[in-house]
Amino acid sequence: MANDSQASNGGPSLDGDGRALNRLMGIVASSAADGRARCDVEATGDEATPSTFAITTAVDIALVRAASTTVAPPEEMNGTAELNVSYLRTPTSTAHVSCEVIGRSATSRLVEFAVADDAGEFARGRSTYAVRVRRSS
Amino acid sequence: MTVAAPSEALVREWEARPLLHGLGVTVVELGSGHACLEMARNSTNVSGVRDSINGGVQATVGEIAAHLAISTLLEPGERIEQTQDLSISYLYSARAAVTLIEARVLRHGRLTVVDVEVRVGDDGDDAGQMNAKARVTCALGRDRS
Repeated sequence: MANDSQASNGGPSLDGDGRALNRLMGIVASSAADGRARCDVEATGDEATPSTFAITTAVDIALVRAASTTVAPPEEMNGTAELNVSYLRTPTSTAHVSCEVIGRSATSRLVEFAVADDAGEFARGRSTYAVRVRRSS
Repeated sequence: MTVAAPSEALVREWEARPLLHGLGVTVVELGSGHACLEMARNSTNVSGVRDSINGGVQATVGEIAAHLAISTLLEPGERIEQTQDLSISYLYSARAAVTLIEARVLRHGRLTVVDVEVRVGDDGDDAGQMNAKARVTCALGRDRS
């Protein structure tokens, strides 16, 4: 179950192979620690504002980073299981994604997030991120 | 797969977008309230230890497929204002060489609801296996004349 969104060390996908994706989407990482993570989404190409298409990916990347800061051996990252995002309006400037782990269990992390631009918050959502315990070999 | 003539301009317009090109996405089928996209694995859409398609990318391409399916139903002067809500459940890691993203409009109105499925597009034992299931709701509006 679940989808893999993390790098080979079980950490976030903003590093390594994720760079091309971030460039394409205009995603810029800013911080991740203590169950929280932030990233920005800038307009790309001819677009005047970031698209919800890019924000959807950015939200997943940021929530994985937030979850990763709460996972330590013998637990390991297992992928996003559920993602829900609701938009109140489209962004009018660079979008700022803020994620926070608000709950945890042996199998998951519950992450809430908000997305804002210069005019204020325009989207909110929640995700369940799956974790598992590494089997000893 | 054949694309009906009235849809050709729509397909060209969407496939010209850098986002679709970068993600390796092409439109393989387009009909009334229905769109099927194909995503080939590439160095941009794969980022994970198990070589899976990034989950955010699956959600994004699902959203794109939903917009495309809705676009086939728009009347003159009508447009998609915004995605209102997107929910996606991930079932199995998407590791196929080709992933199919299929969108079907369930309800067309001021709020239009679209069902999206992400499936394995390769031939083989897991052909057609569902990787993810999404529901996209979009707000439609009319141009002021």
